[in-house]
Amino acid sequence: MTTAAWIALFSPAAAVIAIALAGTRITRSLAGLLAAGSVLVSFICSVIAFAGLLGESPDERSHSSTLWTWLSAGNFNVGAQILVDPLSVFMMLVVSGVGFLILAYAVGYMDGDAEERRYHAYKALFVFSMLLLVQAGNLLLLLAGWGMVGLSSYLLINFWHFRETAVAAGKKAFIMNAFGDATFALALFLLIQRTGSVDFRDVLQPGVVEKGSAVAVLVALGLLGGAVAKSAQVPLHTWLPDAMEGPTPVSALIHAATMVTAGVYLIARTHVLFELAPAIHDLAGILGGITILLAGLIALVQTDIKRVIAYSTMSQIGYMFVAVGLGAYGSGLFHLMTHAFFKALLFMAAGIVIHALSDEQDIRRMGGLGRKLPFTYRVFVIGALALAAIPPFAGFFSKDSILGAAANAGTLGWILWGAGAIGAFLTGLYTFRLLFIVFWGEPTPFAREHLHLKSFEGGLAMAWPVAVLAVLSIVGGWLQVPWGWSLVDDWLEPVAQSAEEATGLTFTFSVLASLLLSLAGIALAWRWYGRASDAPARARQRWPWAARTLEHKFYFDEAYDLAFYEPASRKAAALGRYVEQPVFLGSLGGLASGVRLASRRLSSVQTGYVREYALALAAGLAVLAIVFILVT
Amino acid sequence: MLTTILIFLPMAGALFVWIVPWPTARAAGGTALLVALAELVVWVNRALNFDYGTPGLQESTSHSWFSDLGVSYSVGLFDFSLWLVGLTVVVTTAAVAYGFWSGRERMGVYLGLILFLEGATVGVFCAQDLLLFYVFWEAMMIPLYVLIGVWGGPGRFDATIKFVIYTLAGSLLMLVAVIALGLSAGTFDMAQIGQNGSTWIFLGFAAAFAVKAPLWPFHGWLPDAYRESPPEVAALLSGVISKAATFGFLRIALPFFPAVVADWRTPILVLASVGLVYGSLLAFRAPDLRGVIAYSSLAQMNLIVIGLFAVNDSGLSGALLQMITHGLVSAALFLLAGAVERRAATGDLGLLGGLARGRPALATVLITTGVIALAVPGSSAFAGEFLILNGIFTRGWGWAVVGAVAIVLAAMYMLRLISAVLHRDPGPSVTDAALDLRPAELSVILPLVATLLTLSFWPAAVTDHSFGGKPTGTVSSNFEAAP
Repeated sequence: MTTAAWIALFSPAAAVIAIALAGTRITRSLAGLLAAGSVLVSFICSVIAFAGLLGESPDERSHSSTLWTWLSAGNFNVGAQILVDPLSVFMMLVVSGVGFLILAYAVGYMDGDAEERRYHAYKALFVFSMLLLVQAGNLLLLLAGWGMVGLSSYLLINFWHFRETAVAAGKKAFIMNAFGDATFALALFLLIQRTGSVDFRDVLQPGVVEKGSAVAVLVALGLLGGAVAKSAQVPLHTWLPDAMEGPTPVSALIHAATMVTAGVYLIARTHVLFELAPAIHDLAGILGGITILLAGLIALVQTDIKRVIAYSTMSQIGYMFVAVGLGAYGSGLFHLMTHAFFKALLFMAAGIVIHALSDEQDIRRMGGLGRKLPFTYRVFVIGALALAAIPPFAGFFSKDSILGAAANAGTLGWILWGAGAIGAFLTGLYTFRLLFIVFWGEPTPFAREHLHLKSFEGGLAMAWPVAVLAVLSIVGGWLQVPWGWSLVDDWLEPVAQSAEEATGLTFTFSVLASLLLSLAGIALAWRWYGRASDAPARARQRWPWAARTLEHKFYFDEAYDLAFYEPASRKAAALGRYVEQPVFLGSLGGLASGVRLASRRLSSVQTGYVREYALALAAGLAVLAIVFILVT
Repeated sequence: MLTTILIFLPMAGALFVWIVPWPTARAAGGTALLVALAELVVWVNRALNFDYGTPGLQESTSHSWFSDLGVSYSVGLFDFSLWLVGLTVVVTTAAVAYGFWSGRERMGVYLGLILFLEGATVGVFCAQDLLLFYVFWEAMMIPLYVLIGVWGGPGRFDATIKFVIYTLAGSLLMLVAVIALGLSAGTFDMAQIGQNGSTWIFLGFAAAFAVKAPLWPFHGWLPDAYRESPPEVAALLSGVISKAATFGFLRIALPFFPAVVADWRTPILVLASVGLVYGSLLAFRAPDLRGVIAYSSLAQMNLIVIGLFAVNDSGLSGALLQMITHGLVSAALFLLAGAVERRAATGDLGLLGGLARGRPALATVLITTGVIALAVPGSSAFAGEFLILNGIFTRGWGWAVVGAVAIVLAAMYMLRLISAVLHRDPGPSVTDAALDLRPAELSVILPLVATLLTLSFWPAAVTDHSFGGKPTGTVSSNFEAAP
């Protein structure tokens, strides 16, 4: 079982090495197939590990395996160690399963790009890093995976490195995540000080720090900093929309289905530490609630098809943060899984649209594509319904599981429930706004002119993974059905006991209210965007400040520039101009030219200066030696 | 015996290369390269047969020199010095190969100097007698003066003057300290000196090491020296020679003056922390390729000093690992900078750009080295930084927070460098005539990068095989003040 997990981990790494070494000796599509095939191997191995765990009684389902000592210092040892337990296998299945579908799709999507092999190698590198993150058996290795997914994300965001915007977006993503890595590392130092270890089995114990103590708060805060940065939650969220500069399958894999949900995994994995610091645990939920609303609102005014979906991703991860923040780990991870299905589906459908329109991403130039791209239209509808949480699509079950848990978590729970319910309305509105603008109505002149299809929409290579995800976006939610069964909660129970969901009337109310709000959002979207209407324009005229605030994304970017980047940049420049140059370089520079002048005068030998200095200093040395011996 | 061979093989090689009237520069260079490779083989053989489980000196040789003064030719290897010798021979081999391939003028003299430098540096790492340590220390400086002063860039004169003034001042203070320590202990044998409580002698040593590392604010020589040297000499300076200074802290300052170190910890940590942030900020604004690498080197060396002055298992192991990693990283970066400057005839970041397109080898190698340099989690640089900061954390959480800030700054300046060279549209100085890395360049730089990747896969290769093995003797017990 652990053998299968090790193979799952190293299979994509082997593909990276193979593609890098083979270079141009293999064809581009072979490089793509190699990458996708290696992830398929990972998926099969994950299934084997899953089957292995299934055959055991629930309390035995935890296997740790160490291959070698990765790092040591005195008595502090960190192994190259993986942990196979229900939570890690759950994540492995999602990562490698969805990952395989997206990599297969990418073979078609990237076909013909000048640097296709590099792309496939990066993609496999990402899957390796992500698997390392979810399989790691200790916090340091988890942090290693954590940083490496950030690295692969950086490499893929600026994959088209000749675009100024892509380069800037990649840097921004990496640096914001470096901030999260730093707080993560600080939390580890505290834990090492307390326990002398980073092994999950030593660290994730209820007695490791005193509940509610300052240390407990700082540890949880450090971990939350990492989680918030990686999962693009307020206030470290501004990198994600910019990250849409990467190729669309990258957005689907990294910035929707897997990497950005790593924060949710981290909180679930280290839930013991969060439960020891209830204030920070609540803070995770609160940040999630804020992100749901903020991102949902911004999504309403975005005009780039991928950015709308990106803001929707932030908002949906907000739901997951609400869930894990309130202790409903099963619900949070269930939503993580269904979201991976339908969000990857939406991105890949958007990718087909972008491809068909010669890389156009502005929805104002699209329209009426439903008739031209019937397959894409249908799968997009499935994804949109799943996202808007309409039964029987997947999002309905997972989102209502979260709201049901929130309804049973006291005052804070109800506040977050409120945020989630309003979020449901916003989700319906922005999702169907996008759907109606892109696929309904008459084709725009631009769409008519630029629409070109080589074969079937995107070709079969791109279509079949999309079709599989469309099916999963429907049936994936049936793992956990209200008043029926809760397979995900039960499976994860040995690792993280989920908080109870509301029952009876409260639950019924929660489900119906959020469903009605979703439908209301869709209805409003239909009134405004489903047919000719000047309502959006009038709203914009009436509340210009509101539109401006949303278009500036609540001014986070501007504020950060003003508060951090500009001062740091100015300080660095000032240090160079007023300290380094005059004090360290200038004064001695003058000395050097003085020496040059003196040596020219004193001696015709150009290299005389060394000898003279040596002599002068040797004289000083004699004096110093006497002083030293006298003093000591 | 083997230690003596490690020291004098390159020196003898240097003499051979200098004396023989080679018919062509190629013959002289080829011979020098063979000597460097032979040295590498000797070291690999030594490392494979080293007994890492037991603490203490191995392969030691001792001959009395001035018996009435207690001075002897005494050399030997600790497990941690073995790693630093390894760094020296690996980077020197790369430097010699690079210089050979670049076709420097007066090839024999040039490469002979580098070989002599190698021998002296290995001597510093192996010396077990204080006076011998000083002799090798000085022997290490002389070839550097010539290498920068003769083969340097247009500003080499000023660069050399500054370098000479700084290092001479430092080494003379050290000589005074060496004499004072030896006389007060009655012997120059490092094994017998024992602990000393003199602040002045400690400061004499610390001054020399602080200049050479360099510790902030003793870095005035660094930007010019790193900018004006030939790339392979800059690689040696920042990769290897700077490590002789941190080795000095580790081998002399910490074990001989534990009580003084405890008193002076806070001031030194303050300087090192300032240097870490200062270097990172200047690296972020440096206008040229070598400036970024030079100031990032300053920051990294100060980080290593922070780890050393934590004086605990984590800090010391981390500092050693970081010395090795940074040595390889900065050597690779300077050689890459040389390769870029060769193609664009400038290191000005504003004139570069767009080199990634159509040059996959250059892009891959630069990005790999760059992300290791910025200590992406999972890399050996990350492992080293993590141990250093974890070590200093127990001395005070504030130091670790400063280090954490530097992690973010490192990401900022390294990504800036990568993008400025590789990304966006080609800069004014980048033409289509700029080729991808040639096989010869790759054969020099790739081994460095491959070593870094191996170390990232297994950083415990260093930490598990240094400071006398584990768990019998923990690292820091060697450096505690006697009761």
